Amino acid sequence: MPSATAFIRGWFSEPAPTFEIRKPSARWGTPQPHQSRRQLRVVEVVQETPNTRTFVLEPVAGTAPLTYRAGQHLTVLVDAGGTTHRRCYSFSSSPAAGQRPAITVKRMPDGVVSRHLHDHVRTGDTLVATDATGHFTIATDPAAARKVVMVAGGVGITPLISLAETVLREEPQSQVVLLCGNRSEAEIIFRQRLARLEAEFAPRLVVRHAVDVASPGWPGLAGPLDGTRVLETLGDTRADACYVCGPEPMMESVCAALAGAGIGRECVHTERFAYATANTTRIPDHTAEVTFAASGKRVTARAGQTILQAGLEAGIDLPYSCTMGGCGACKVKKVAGTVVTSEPNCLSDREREEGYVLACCSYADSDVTIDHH
Amino acid sequence: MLPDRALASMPSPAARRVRDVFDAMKVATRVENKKVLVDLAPSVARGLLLKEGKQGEPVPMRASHEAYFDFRYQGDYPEMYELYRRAVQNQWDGDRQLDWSTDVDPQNPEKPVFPIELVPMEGLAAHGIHLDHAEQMRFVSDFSCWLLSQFMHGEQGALFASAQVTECVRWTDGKFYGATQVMDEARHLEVFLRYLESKLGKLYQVNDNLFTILDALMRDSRWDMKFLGMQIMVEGLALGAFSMMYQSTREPLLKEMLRYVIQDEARHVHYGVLALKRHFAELSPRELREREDWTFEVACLMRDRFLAHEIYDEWFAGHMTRPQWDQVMSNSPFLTQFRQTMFKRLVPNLEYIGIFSPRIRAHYDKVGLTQYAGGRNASELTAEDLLAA
Repeated sequence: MPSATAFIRGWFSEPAPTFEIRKPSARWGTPQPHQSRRQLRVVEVVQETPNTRTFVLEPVAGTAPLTYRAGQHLTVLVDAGGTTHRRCYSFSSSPAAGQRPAITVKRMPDGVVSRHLHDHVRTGDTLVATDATGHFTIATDPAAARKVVMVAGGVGITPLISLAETVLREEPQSQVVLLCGNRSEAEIIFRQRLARLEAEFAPRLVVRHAVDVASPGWPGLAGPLDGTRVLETLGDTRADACYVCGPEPMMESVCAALAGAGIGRECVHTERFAYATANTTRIPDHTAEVTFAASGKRVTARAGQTILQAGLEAGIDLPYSCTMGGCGACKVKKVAGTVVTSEPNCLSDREREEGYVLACCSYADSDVTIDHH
Repeated sequence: MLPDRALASMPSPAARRVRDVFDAMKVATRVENKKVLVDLAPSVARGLLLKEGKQGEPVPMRASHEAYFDFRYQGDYPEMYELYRRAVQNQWDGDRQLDWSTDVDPQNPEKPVFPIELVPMEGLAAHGIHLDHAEQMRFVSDFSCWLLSQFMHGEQGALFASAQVTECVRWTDGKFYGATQVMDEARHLEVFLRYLESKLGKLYQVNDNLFTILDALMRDSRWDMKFLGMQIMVEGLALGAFSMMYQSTREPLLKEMLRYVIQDEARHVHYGVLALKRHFAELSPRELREREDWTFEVACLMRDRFLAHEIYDEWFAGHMTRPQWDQVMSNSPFLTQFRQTMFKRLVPNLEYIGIFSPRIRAHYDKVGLTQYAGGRNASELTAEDLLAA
């Protein structure tokens, strides 16, 4: 009866401390920095437009070089308010040009990370980021002689300028037509760099700018860069590859127009800034409309608000339970639009293929229709 | 009421033991239902009197449940099978997916493991105890270690209980699911232990009352009692507590770890609710009454007894009496919120699975717990319930 003995002994002697100081067990090994996390030093900050900045980066001393392919992005991690926020930003530099890696970031009024980068990060500061990822890339071939059409909306130019310069430098016989849409002349990102590239690679590079609101004397295209405008501007719609990146409505319009012009789906590559890899989620920095098809109710999801939160706030009786992506109770079917979903979550591959999303951890990245409730 | 002056004249080890004896008697007299008292008494004696959890030795607990074999393997519970598939698909790896290279300083005011509001300043001041800022930070650090240690001990209990329940459960789909929960609990135990060892560097002994509950669950031969105790009560408490901790911590590694753990816990409670709702519908009124009574008494134990005596012994023994400390803790904003969160989760689940009849409701009413009735159960919790903890 060891416990009875201890009980009796306890009447006469002070008990042992209620805690134990512990050293880490050998079984844990030596923790390595998280595989995908790395530190990057900001070596230059360039103000591109009033609300867009380029951050030129280099690995901190003693760490591996930052390798990337044109069109890929970097996921930047920022700790704020006790949460690690992750946002993806495309490289605007071209690895083919020997430039230092750079990301270009538009400051969003409600964007936690973009505001942090704009308001607090200066030359010499260090950023935490994952390694480069993304499939919006191009396999260059020095022997290729192809025509590549690129359509950029706003900050969607970021991966495209990297891709364009890479193609032009690595494929001496290929040509690139780059159409850039912006709200106004003042918001055109990389205007001078594009002009320099156009001069250097003429006639293989053709750049056309369109602005929604044109000032008198504007030499470019006036009006939004939608699918119709793209086809009109291109004239000859033959293309070996098309790359499209920008706001969702513009992309939908352009992709539909390209398809209508007979350009095969396999030739059109899009970057929606709206995908989630494991543990990596860019939460949209903007509002979007969510329509619940069965009831016809339409709600506005604010930046950072999940579809569940937006629906509940509007009084829609959505099912849910854990609100952490763990139980699947809030599973709904998305029939239109784009969402970004926090990972990991409990959806099966089959559910994902069938268009299901978890309302509790999904954010509308464009106007979205939910076939439920 | 024990005369403090009488105890003050005794040698402190003896005074402490007298307190233990009175504590055990207090628990025994608190349990109104004699049948439940008979069930719990051996565990109360082992936990509170013999302090088997604090002897620094392994504690054997003899289990006497019946493993339930069914060689027909009929598909009999689709919702449970779906939960199993989800669990299989979402196994995570704490070693790979958590960044263990994160520097954790539990006394860093910028990224506190728990907020400094955890310190029951007013309650301590009423007894003439004033902690300066550095002492408060150290107290929060120790209390964080204590709380996480208790959850770690609870996870060990959950690991064994889920293994037992997997043997006992009546549905093949339940056994599939149960096996995933065993793995979940092992992983939780692993990450809590690793966090405590490698980041906080301090482990607290198991709380006597937690030991008592674990002991009672381990030894109970009725599978549904284990299920009720572990899946609904302990897991329900854990889900509430983890959600609250998730909201309040500013330490990134712990926050990330809790996020993973909460995803699992939500499934565990869901499983308990699914299983017991169906099972309880088949029980006789007498059997249901028995479960209602047991649940009520254990709920009261959980409400009244999670008072961090281990922290008292380390910090305040000699400066205030244990009953005074109990009072300070019971009235502290942190524990008040903790209890609220816990019962906000628990009571609606009890209603949903059918053990909250008007008869037992009157008992809950007497101890002020009916305010949580009518809330949403595990499958329909409001976002505020979890996010606001």
